Amino acid sequence: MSARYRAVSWMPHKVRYDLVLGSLCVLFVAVFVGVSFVVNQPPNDISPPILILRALGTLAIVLLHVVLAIGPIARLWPRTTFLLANRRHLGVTLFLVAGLHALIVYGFYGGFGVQNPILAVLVRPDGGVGFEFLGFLALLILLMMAATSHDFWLAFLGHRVWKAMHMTVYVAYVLVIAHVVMGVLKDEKSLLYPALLAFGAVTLGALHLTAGIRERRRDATTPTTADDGWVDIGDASDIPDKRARVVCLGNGERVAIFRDGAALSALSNVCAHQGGPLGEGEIMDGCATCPWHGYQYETHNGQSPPPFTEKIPTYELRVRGGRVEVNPSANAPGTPTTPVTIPEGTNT
Amino acid sequence: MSEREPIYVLYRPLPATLLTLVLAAVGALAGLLAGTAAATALAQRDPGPAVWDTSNTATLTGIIVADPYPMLLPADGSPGVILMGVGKGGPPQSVLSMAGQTVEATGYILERDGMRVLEVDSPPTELSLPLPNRAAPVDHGTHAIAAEILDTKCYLGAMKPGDGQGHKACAILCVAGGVPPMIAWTDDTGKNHYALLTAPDGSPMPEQYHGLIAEPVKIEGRLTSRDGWLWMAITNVAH
Ligand code: HEM
Ligand code: HEM
Ligand code: FES
Repeated sequence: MSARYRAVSWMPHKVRYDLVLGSLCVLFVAVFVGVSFVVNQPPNDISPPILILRALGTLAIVLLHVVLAIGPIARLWPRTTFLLANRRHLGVTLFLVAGLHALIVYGFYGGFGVQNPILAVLVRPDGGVGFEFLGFLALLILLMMAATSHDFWLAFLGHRVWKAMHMTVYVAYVLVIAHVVMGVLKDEKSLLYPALLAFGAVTLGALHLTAGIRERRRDATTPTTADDGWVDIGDASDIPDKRARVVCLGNGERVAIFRDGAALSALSNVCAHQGGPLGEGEIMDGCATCPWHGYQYETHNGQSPPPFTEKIPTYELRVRGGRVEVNPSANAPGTPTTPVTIPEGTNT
Repeated sequence: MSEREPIYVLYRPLPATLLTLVLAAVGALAGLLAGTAAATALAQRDPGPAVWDTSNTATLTGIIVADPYPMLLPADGSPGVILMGVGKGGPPQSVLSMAGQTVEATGYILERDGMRVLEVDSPPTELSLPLPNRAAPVDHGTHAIAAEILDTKCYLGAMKPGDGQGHKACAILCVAGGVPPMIAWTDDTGKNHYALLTAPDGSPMPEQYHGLIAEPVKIEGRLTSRDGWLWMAITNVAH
């Protein structure tokens, strides 16, 4: 059943998401160009191609900030996890907007001359490079991510490699900042531009730091360990029905203990899709459902229901002295386990 | 962490409790985007008054010279009009080959502060008009001027703004293609000056300076005036 859901019914969400995103991009360019038209009247007007390439460059850097802010925002305020679901569309949109910005630069600044338009923009007469080259490198990084954005690549590369690739977006961010500082900031004297760049950097830094610190603090609460190494998961009755508690094991792995009625089972917290935090999801259709894109796993064996083939590691649970404990050494992905029952005497 | 509500799953209907939050997020994003767009657009610098009138063709009468940059010296005695072709380069051969002749040339005017370019779109017609002799150049001695090397076509109206780092690649391309380089500066009384740049012997500005186009530089050389323009014969450019 979830098969058909996943294949068909998510389309409306995506279409709506893309429509909203597309309209917002059009809104940005329209406001930018419109305001310039009103403020810079002939003969002091700004050439329309320059206005459009500026609008697109500025939109691209704003979208880059949004892409970078979504991760920590969703971690700090779990209710906003829906922001993550279509992040790849946001990323691809960012790439397209930045690419259009570059195309207009090649055509308008690089075109109509005695040289190859791309080389004319990217290479200086002495063979050196200017600020445009930094933008070019950033665009290559965005291209790499956009080109490998399909789930095929995710499966092909594995989500660790894929995630490492996505972390280069921070390199792209630094390149784009340098592109702007060494380029138009030399021309534009309004303090608004450096002020906005600084505001963006400080906001992103604060969000990432806060999210990181909070995560580390959560992981740092070392769970009690029995003599044979099994880890106490705390008061099982605190886990709300259909939800999970995430426990960080001494070895750095995170395990999600899901509760379905009175039954408890333990799965890896790392979703096989993009490494989303499975334990922040909930049980739907009898399966643990990832909050990022809704991949599902049967709680007793960590396998996605057919026809899907994803498998994640499972963990053994036991009840000892009225406490629930988890074996910190993971089972191979997809290994069936026997769910345990919440110990008697705890309220449900 | 325990105030639980349904999670958002792509392929399921949006939980009612999240609808407000989703709408708020879209609204906030729209506000952020529109606000940034308006603010950054407002903060753009003024490119100055320059026009490229492509809706009217202009017809000028005068003598064509090329020492070293192709110009038309108007019969009415107004400053020389720089001749260019379409795109980032000098005028076509059909214009260059008429140097020394009196012509009627038709094209589009680019103009800033009375300094003009004629973008020639058809071969000029030869006239058999005698024209007054050119006045001798006036020497103003050597000077060092802090300015930026610009290309005449863009700065006089083809691209606005046609100066600065953002426009550097384009300006280099123009000058490499044969568009005359110039500097523009404002004196203490607020008056704008424009000088075309040449080598010390009066030939076109050497290629060695192309990399310094659009950079803040100090240009040293001998200033003269002729044909309604200032000319700077460069001896040194310091970055
Ligand atoms: C091949 C790639 C790129 C080239 C050749 C390029 C070129 C340029 C040029 C020439 C300008 C100056 C425009 C002006 O005259 O005002 C500029 C500005 C700018 N670029 Fe890029 N760029 C590239 C990639 C990027 C990327 C990837 C981003 C952001 C994600 C970006 C963001 C900006 C921004 C924010 C500005 C300042 C606003 C503006 O004036 O457009 N650029 N770029
Ligand atoms: C040009 C395009 C893209 C950009 C700029 C971009 C940006 C990012 C950023 C900033 C991160 C790290 C965020 C964080 O953890 O705080 C990231 C990781 C991620 N990206 Fe992308 N992305 C792009 C394309 C995609 C695509 C195509 C996908 C989907 C296939 C995607 C989905 C994800 C996911 C799910 C992560 C999370 C990894 C993790 O935090 O464990 N993004 N990407
Ligand atoms: S990360 Fe995509 S569904 Fe879990």
